[in-house]
Amino acid sequence: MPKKDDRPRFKDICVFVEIKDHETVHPGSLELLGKAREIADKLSQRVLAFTFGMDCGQYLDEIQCHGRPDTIFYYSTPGPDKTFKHYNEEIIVPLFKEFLQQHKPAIVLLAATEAGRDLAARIAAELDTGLTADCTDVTIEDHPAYGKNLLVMAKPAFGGNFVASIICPTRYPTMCTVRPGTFRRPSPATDHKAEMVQLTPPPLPKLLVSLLTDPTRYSVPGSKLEEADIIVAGGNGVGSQETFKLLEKLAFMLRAEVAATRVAVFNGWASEDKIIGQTGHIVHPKLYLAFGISGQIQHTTGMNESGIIVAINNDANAPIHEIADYSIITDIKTFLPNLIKELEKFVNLRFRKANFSEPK
Amino acid sequence: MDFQFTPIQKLVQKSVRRFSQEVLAVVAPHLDKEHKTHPKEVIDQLAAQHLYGIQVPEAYEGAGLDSISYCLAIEEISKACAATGLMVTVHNSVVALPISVFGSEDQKKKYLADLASGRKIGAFSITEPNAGSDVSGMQTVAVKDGNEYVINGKKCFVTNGAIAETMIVGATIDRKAGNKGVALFLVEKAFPGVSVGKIERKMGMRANPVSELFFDNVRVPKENVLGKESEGFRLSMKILDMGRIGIAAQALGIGMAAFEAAAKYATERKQFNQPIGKFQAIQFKLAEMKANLESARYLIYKAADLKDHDLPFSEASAMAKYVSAENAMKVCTDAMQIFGGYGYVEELPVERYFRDCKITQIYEGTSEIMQIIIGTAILKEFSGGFI
Amino acid sequence: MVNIAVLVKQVPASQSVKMDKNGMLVREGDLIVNPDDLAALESALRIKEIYGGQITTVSMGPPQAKDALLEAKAMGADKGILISDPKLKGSDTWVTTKVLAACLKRFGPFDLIFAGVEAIDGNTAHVPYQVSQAMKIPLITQFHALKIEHNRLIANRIKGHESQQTQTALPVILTANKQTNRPRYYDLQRIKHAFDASVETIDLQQLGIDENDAGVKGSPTQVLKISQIVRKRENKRLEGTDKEMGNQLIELLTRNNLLKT
Repeated sequence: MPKKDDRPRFKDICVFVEIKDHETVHPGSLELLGKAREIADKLSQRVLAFTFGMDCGQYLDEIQCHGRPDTIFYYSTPGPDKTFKHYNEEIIVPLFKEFLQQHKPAIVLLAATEAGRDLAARIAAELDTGLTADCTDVTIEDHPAYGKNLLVMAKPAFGGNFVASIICPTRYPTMCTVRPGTFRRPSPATDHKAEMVQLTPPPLPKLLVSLLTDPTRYSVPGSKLEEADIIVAGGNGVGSQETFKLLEKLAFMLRAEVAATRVAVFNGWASEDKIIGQTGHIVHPKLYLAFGISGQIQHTTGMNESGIIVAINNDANAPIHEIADYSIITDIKTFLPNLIKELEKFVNLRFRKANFSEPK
Repeated sequence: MDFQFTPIQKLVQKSVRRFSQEVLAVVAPHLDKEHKTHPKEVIDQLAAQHLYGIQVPEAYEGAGLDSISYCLAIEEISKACAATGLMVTVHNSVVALPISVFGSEDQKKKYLADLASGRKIGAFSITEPNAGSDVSGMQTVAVKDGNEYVINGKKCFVTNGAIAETMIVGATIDRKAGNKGVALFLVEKAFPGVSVGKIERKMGMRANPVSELFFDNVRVPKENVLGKESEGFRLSMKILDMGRIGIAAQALGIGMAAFEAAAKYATERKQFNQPIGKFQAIQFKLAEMKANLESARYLIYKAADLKDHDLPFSEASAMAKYVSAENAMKVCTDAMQIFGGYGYVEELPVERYFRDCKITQIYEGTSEIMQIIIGTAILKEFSGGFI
Repeated sequence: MVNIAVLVKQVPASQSVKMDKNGMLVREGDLIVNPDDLAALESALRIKEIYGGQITTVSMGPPQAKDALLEAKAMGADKGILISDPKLKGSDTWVTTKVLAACLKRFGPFDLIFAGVEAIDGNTAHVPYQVSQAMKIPLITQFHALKIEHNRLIANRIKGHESQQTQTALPVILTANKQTNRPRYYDLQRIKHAFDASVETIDLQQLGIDENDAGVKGSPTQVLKISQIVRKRENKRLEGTDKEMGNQLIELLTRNNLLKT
C-alpha cells in the first residue's frame, strides 16, 4: 500500500559528494549539486551535501560554490589518518545510513562512479527503498495515481537501445545514480556560504576485508576506456605498427584513450585489454575516432553508443560509415601525420616536451 | 519422423555458432587475405570444445555426439570460416572417425585420443598427381619387409598436410590385385622419410595448409594397416561416404553465409527508391537460394540419420554432397550478383564465400563421381540387382 | 573443497529486443546467458579446478531460464537451481536480491558466491552489492587473482586507484566481467551430458517468501514506460585535401569542447 502519510516527513535533496581518493571533488558530484539545486528550487526545499575525506576541509569551498547547497555535512580526519581517505563500504555505509535516517531527505543523488554505485546500492538495501542506476535524466512530474512531484528517472535499458522511465512512488528516499557528464556543471557561485557541519565518527568497526600488503598505485590503461571522453581506435586498416604508433601519439595529444579491434591486436599492434567490442569493452565516449576500422558488428556493438563517431579509412563502402557522423575517406598513412602536424599548432607547447618517443 | 532438433543438437548449434561468430568470423578475412594458417590460439580453442573429436567415443576423449550434431557444428564453423570447417571436418570424418570405427584396439589406444583431443591433427591422403577420381592409378607403393611395410611415393592435395601428425595413407601393396591390392596405413609425420612438399596457394580455403607429402622409404609397422591389407580400397570408399556428409555440411555453411548476407543486403540496399529485395528479379533469386539450401539441409540430415542407425548411407551421402555443393556454389554466385560490384571487392566477405565454395564441388569426390554413385545405385535398384 | 554458487541470469541478446506498434516490448530471437555471468562462472570453474568442490548456479526467472542453467552445466557447473514463479513477474533488483539471498541461504552455506557485474538488459549492477549487504557477506570486485588459504580468500584486486591484496574470511561474494577473464566456450562433451539431469525449480512458497514482497507489489521502483531510442547519425562525408579534412576534424573537436590543453 502506498505509504502516503510518510511523504510530508521526507523532504530535501541530498547529494553524496565524492572526494575521489583524496585528490579532487568528482566532477560528477558537482554536476549533481547543480541539478539538486534546480529540483530543490522547484519544490521549495533544501539541498544537503554529504561527503567525507582526509583533511576534508580543503574541499568544502569548492563544494559550497557549486549549486549553492544549503548545508554540507562531512566526516573528516586529519592526515595521516587514512580512515576517510578512500571509500570503504564497511565504514561509510553505516554512517551515510545513519545520516539519511536522521535527516530524511526525499531524494538522494549520487554520481555513478565506482564508489557511488557501491554506496547507492548498499544504502538502498539498508533503507529498503528503490534505486535507479545510471540515469541519463531526472525530472519532477505529477502522477495521476501516485500524486504530485514525483522524481521521474530516465535510464537506458537493453544495451542502450531503449530508455525506461522509472519512479519510486511508495518508498523513501528515492535514490538514483547519474552518469558523470550527464548534467552541466553549474557555474561557481563564489558568494554562497553553506552551513558546514562536521560529524563525529563513532569507533571504527573491525574490517572484514583487510589489506595483506601495502597497496600500490594502479593505472592500467585498458580500464580507462569506459570513462574516456575521447577514444582513438585503430583497426586493420591502420596498416602497420609504425602507423599505429602515430595513433597513440594522436591520442596522447588529445588526452584520449587508445583502443583497438581484435584484428589489430592479432597483428601485435595493441594489447588484448584495448579491444572494443562484443568480447571486449563497451564504451560511450563523447567522441570516437575509428581509424582503419571496417565496422564489423563484433566491434560496433562496443562503440555505437558514442556521442560522435568519426570514421577514417580508405574504403567508402565499409559498414562503419553507416553509423558514423563524419566520414573521412583517405589514406591513413598520409592523413595521420598531417593531422598531427595541424593539431600541434593548437595544442599546448608542453606536450611536445613531454616524454613521448617519436616513432622511428 | 521428427524434424525438430533435440535439446543437445540445439545447444551444440548455439554454442558453436557463438564461438564461430566471436572468434572465427573475425580472423577469417585476415587469414584468407594473407594466406595464413590458423594460429595456435584458435586450434587450442577448437580442441577445448572437443571439436576435434565430435563423434569419437568419450572413452577416447571425444564428445561422442550424433551425426546431426556433427553436421550442425561443421555448418556453423564453415559459415564463419570455411577453411577452419575444412580442417575440422576432414580431421573428424576421414581420420578420427575411421580409426574409431575400423581401427584395432591397439591402433585406437595409440592414435585416437591424441586426435580427438586435438593434440594431433589428422590428414587423409589418397590423391596423387596421376590418381584423382581414378584411385586405382595410385603409384605410391608399400613393400612388405619383415614386420614392416616400406612406403615410397608422392601424394598431393593433402588437406591439413602441412600440420597433420597422424595420417591415413593409401598405398598399393599388390598392383596385380587391382582394387584389392590397395591398403590404408596409419602413418605418423614423425616417421623418418615423411616430408611435406609444396604448400598450395589456392583460390579459396586459404587458411588450410593443403600440401604435397613425400614418402621416402618410410617404414611403417604392419600393425598400422587399417583394417585388412586387401580392404584399403573398400574402406576408402566407406570413409569417403562418411566424409561427404561433413563436406556437404561445410558447403551448406558457406551457402548459408552467402545467402544471409545477400538477404540482409537486399533489405538495406536501395535503388530506384526502394530496397532491391522488393524487385522480383532479386526476390526470385533469394527464394531459389533459400529453397535450395533447405533441400540440401534435409538431404544431409537424412544421410546423417541413416548413418547413425547403421543403415546403408552411401547413396544418401553422395546425394547430400552433390546437391549441397552444387546448390551452395549457385547460391554464392547469385549472392555476388545481388551484391553487384560490392560483392566483387575484398572488403566484403561475399567474394571469399564464392572462392571458398568452388572446391566443394570437387574434393572428396567430384560432383561427377557423386552422380556415378547415385546412377549406379539407381540402376541396381531398378534392375533388381542385375546391373 | 570449496562450495561455490554462481548467480546467473538469462537475458535477450540486446539486438533482438524490439518494440511493436503498440509500444509493447517484444523479446524475440536468442536468449543467452548474461555475458558477465559467463565470466563469473569461468572464475568459479578456475577455483574448482584448483581446490576442488562443487558449483551450483542459481537463477531467478521464467521457466525458460532453465536453459541458461543447462548451458552453465555445459560449461562446467555441477547443478542448477531456478527460482521461478509467476508472482515474481515485474520484480525489480531489490526483490531479486531478497529472493536470491533466500535461495543462497537455503541451499548453502556457500564459501564463494560469484556474480556478473551487470546484466545487459537491466544494466543496473545492483544485485551483487545488495546481496552482499543483505547477507552481510563481504564483496570483492575487480579481482584478477584469487587464492584460498586456511578458510580465507586472498585476492589481488583493484579498488579506486589502488591495486590491493586483500584477505577476507569466507564466505565472500565476488563479481566478474569481461575484464576479469575470457570465458571458455561450451565443451561439446559436456553439452552431451548437460541434459542428463534437470535443473531444480522452486517457487516462492517453497522459498518462504511472501507474495507481497514479490513482483510489482514488492518492488520499490516501477517502470512508467519504455521508449525506443532511434539513433540518427549524420553520415556526413568530409571533403577536401588531407590538410583540409584534418582541419575540419580539429574544428569539430573545438566546437564540441573536446580539445584539452
